[in-house]
Amino acid sequence: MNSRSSNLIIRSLLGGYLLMLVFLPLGAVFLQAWSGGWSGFWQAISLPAAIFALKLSLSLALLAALSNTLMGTLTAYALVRYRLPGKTILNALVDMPFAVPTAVSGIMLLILYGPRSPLGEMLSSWHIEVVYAWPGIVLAMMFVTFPFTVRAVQPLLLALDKDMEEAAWTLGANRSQVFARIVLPVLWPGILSGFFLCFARALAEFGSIILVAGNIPLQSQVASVYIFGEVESGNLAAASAVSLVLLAAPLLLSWLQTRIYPDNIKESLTSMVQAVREGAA
Amino acid sequence: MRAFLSAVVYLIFLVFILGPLGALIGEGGRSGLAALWQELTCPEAVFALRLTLLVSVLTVAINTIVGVFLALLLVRDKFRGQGLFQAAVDLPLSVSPVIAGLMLVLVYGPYTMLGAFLTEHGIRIIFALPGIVLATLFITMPLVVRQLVPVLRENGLEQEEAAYTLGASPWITFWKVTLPSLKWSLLYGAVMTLARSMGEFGAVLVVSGNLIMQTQTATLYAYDSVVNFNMAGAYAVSLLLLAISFITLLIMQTLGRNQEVAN
Repeated sequence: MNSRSSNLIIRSLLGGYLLMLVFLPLGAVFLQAWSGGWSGFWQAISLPAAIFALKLSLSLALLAALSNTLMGTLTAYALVRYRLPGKTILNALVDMPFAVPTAVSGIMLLILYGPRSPLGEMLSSWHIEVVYAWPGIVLAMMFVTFPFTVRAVQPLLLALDKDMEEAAWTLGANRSQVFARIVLPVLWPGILSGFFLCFARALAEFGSIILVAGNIPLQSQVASVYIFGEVESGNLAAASAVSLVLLAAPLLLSWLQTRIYPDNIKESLTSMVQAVREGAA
Repeated sequence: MRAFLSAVVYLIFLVFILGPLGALIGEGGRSGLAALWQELTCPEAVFALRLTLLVSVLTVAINTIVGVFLALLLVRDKFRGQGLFQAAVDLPLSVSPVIAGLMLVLVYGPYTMLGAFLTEHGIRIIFALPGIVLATLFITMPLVVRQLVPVLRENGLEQEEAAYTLGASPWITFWKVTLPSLKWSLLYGAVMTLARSMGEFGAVLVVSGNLIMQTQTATLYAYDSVVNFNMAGAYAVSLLLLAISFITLLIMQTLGRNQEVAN
């Protein structure tokens, strides 16, 4: 057997695997979503519960991504630049949310903020409901996406040459000028890619949210949970229609991202993967 | 300023990481070890844990082998349609697990053409083991590939070319040159795949039907226990899964350091 025909066999086998696992299923969602034509698709996504779920998902994912971008950048900065006691442990803990199953994350949050916990009791005495309400959803989204921004920003900070900052200091720049003019421009691609990753992952999150927020239509039902409900009640066309909208959002974003930072984006993604591998900084 | 920001970072870790972790460990611990053990060894829990183990082992085996070939195809090969392979490898990362499950139901479910055909021949995919494995394969497919692609790019072809000029066959070169150079990244990807397989929830929930003692995996069991107010059962399985995640995290950190040394 020569190498050309063995190459062809490997290609076909892998192609078959991806066809079975990815392409057929993806095609099936499109077909199913369009099974009632454009009007059927439109009807499915304009039901009040569907619109509510999509809006809730998008707005809460945005909120979670924004707060995690802020906190993640700060965490990365402190982990690289400050002398924090217990830094090695903190750095290892950053990856914790990636390693824990999402259902377990949901159970953790349920225990911490649930009505029977001291914290949950205290919050509800201040009329702040976390579980079965939107704050719980945001907390769940924030927990599962916490590592993204930290790991996107950390390698850029590590690679940043201190000479530039020192030069700026000697030229009389103050603290905020150095940060805004020297440090931030270097970190920006990492911050942005962290933000987009957080947002996409938060939109997709299901396991922890269904545990923390339950499945209450028009109250705490996000899009992924709505899709699950429609599948359970055998309404596959409606589930597919909402799925398409949810699938389109991250694709649109990654397109947007490559428009903003065409060159940096691949780099910062690879550096993120490396940072995750590196563990201790 | 520095002290203030450090305090904020400690607070972030306390609220967002240690708080939830401590809550589970504390609440679980309050039930007592004996009660937890009893919950873990009840037939339903044992079945769920064994099913999860089986699915994870199958998934790791298949996706590690497929991952090596996919990565080689993406980096070393040049052909039309390669972009499609790349897109297929990236897709699972941006798909919600529930949608992944839905996609598989739409192709292999009992009411589809393919599903009906397979059922006629006595093969059940959805609401059975093959469906759970397919869903887990889908979710974890990119992990090994994404570990290997940058390493293959960085290594280049020099070593392989040297082997060829010394008269080695492609097969020998693959086993003796290519595979050893990927060792650490491959292991890292496999451990990631294992962790992700054990923890998968949404996709498996949709395709498995969550049938007790039939298609219920460990994460589904934990979820069901919460829904049915069997909190001790939920804590027991969650703590076990948490312990496994800690171990995989430690292994990954060690492997990551080895990778650094190797590179």
